[in-house]
Amino acid sequence: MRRVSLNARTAFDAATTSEVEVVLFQFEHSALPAPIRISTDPTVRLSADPLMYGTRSTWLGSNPTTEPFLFVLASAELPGDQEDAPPAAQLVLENVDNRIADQLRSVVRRATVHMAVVLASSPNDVEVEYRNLKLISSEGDAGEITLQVSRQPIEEEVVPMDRFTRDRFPGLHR
Amino acid sequence: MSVLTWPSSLPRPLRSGYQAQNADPRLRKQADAGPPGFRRRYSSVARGLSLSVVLSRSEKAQFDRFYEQDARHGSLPFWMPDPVTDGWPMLTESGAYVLTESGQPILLSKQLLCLFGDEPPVETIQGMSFTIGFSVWVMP
Repeated sequence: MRRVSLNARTAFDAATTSEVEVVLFQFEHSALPAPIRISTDPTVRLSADPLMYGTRSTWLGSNPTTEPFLFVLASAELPGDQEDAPPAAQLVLENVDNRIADQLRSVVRRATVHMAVVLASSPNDVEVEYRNLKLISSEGDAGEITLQVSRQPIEEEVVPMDRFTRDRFPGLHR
Repeated sequence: MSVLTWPSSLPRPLRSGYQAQNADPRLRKQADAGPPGFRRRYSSVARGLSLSVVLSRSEKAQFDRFYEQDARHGSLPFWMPDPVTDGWPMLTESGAYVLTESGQPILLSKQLLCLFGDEPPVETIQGMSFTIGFSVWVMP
């Protein structure tokens, strides 16, 4: 069962509310020296030089002081529950730097993505969480880059798992 | 690299050109009928300030140099004294000055982290002085 805090439930139902919902992302990949942590809300100013905003949260054991979730110009869509389709999330990044495309093209294996929704007033309490998703595809143009995040495609699994060799299934080869 | 500082030799902004407005962090709930509703979209809210300063010819050169070269035509942030707080005397509730032991009024101090606003500065000339109108975003 999903546990949602009472404050969040009150805010969902209220006609007017001051609560801000924040989506936190954590990207993990063996090619990354440290996980990439991003947030969709400029909750606090992290530093003036360079000018950076972000959300300080203890989600997934990150240290709020040294490992904040950095604010990016992005819009996020949470995994839906459509029929006949795996739950897929979308993250639209502003294409502010060519190095974003370089980074996305440089990897072969899929990155692992964790997503969580928190309230900006209580960034340590996770309201909704999606863990161990995969970064499936990324496409973009000069303006923005769209990242598709979903589960590992089951179509890629080999069926049947075993090969029917003489060693493994001697009865077949009598 | 350190954050730029507003040139302290420039005079204080005029009262007449002063205008301040917050950015709107709300999401409006639009309905066919009935009263409007709002939700918050993001937390930290920038504040827009419209300012104007009257400068001599040499002060105008300082302003231009700060805007064009130091701030790279207004793309870099800078620290600026708050025009409605910094240097203002601290007052008691009844409006009297709060004084030090030697009888000097205590002045307030506040620095704002700013970016130049959406429009580049506008300058007009009047007699021997220049009036430069510009806007800044006060970063949250």
